[in-house]
Amino acid sequence: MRRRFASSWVLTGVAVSMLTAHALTIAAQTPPSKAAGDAALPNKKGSVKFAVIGDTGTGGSDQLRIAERLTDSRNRFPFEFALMLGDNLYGGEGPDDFARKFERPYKALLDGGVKFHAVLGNHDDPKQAFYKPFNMNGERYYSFKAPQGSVRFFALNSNYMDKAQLAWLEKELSASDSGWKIAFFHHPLYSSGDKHGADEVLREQLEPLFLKYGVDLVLTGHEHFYERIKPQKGIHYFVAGSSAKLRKGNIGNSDITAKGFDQGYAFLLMEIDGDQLYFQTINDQGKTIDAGGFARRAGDKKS
Amino acid sequence: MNRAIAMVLLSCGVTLGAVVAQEPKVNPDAKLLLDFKKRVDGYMEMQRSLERKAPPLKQTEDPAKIKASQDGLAALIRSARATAKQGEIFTPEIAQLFRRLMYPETKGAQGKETKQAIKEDAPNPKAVPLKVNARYPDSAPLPTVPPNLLASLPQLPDDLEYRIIGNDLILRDVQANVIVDYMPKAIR
Repeated sequence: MRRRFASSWVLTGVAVSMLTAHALTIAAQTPPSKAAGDAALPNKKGSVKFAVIGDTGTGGSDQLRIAERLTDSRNRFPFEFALMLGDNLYGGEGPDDFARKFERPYKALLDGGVKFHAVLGNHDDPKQAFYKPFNMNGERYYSFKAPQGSVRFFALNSNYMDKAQLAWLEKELSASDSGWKIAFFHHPLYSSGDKHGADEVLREQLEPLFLKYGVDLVLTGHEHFYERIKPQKGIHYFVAGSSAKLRKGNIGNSDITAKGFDQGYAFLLMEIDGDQLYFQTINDQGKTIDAGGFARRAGDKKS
Repeated sequence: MNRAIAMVLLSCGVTLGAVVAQEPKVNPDAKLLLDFKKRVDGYMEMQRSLERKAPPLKQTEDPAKIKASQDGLAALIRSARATAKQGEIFTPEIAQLFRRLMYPETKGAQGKETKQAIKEDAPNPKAVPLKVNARYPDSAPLPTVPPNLLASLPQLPDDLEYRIIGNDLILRDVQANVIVDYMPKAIR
């Protein structure tokens, strides 16, 4: 059965402690099932729970602080895996770098069984695909299914979008019967960043495929800030490249921004429960700087 | 009169047809692309034979093993190609063709965007040694190659990739992190 959902809702303009109920302004439509004023993700049993971090690999104190917040979050929101949006290791890529820029910051999460899924950024050597904790299976682009629910992730190498990768993507998307199709890669197709901005050349290649095969959500990094883009042609876009690096005040004046945050470091939590997706963006002080949700846009409804 | 012209034309056509049949016209671009493919295939044949002698590259939790495999393969390649020079793969004729293939993507308004994309987070060209068999520096970012440029160039095997540093095009062995060849002033 083909269904189209249009509802979306957001909680904006407030900083709240994670999973703490506060009186909030509902900026858009009220969620159909969740009570207004509750900033927490639903945290439902059996839902798909994951975290999103981007541009992480500095090994610096800012990365460590976000890693601590991420660990704190998991105590209350037990996400099973985390997406890494590229630039996983800045600078050198020797064994010490892997330890300092990945293994130590996320030790608690790794020890707790969180599975990381990485994509390559422009600072990453493709040999990272062989580093087992990145779960890339030796591939520079790959897809995987969420542990439960009808959700498939498509991890792309936006540094090198050649004909072979585009052909692979089309094949994977067309073969997928997952209700939710989520793409993640490094370079944003939409962004209000003054430094980089949108990668329009890449957009010309990818957007037609995303539209044709019903991709619901696109997660990217590269820009060192957080930006939620207003849905573009029905697709939801997030830029989350400030989990260790920050470009303060870099979000330009743009009418595509639904919510921007360029004053601090941040990461995302996401939860998919059936046809609904919930998100919560948390800064390095543990404050929620954006939250909300939306329903998947189209496609066969799967259990 | 008309009949005479027709006879002449017919006669010319037959003659030309005979010439074409004797010496089929060869698309010079196709010939160069085939030459490029042969050179790339030759490199890959050598690389794969050396790969078997290097520490195996497989998924591991130990980054030291990945580095050992990469460095081991790079050393073998440098030894096997000790006398390799710039232009062995990007011959002057192939380089000329590549410049021509990429040019439409770098001119006009669209070309401006493409050139801007090339500059995005590109390393300082001085940081990357334009030298056959050189290691691509670990600390230098790998600049994004715009997809429209990639689409204009011949597809490479998985182990090789194009990268643009400044205005120069390099051919990089991904497994060994070695510059296989380079082509100066590729982007006009």
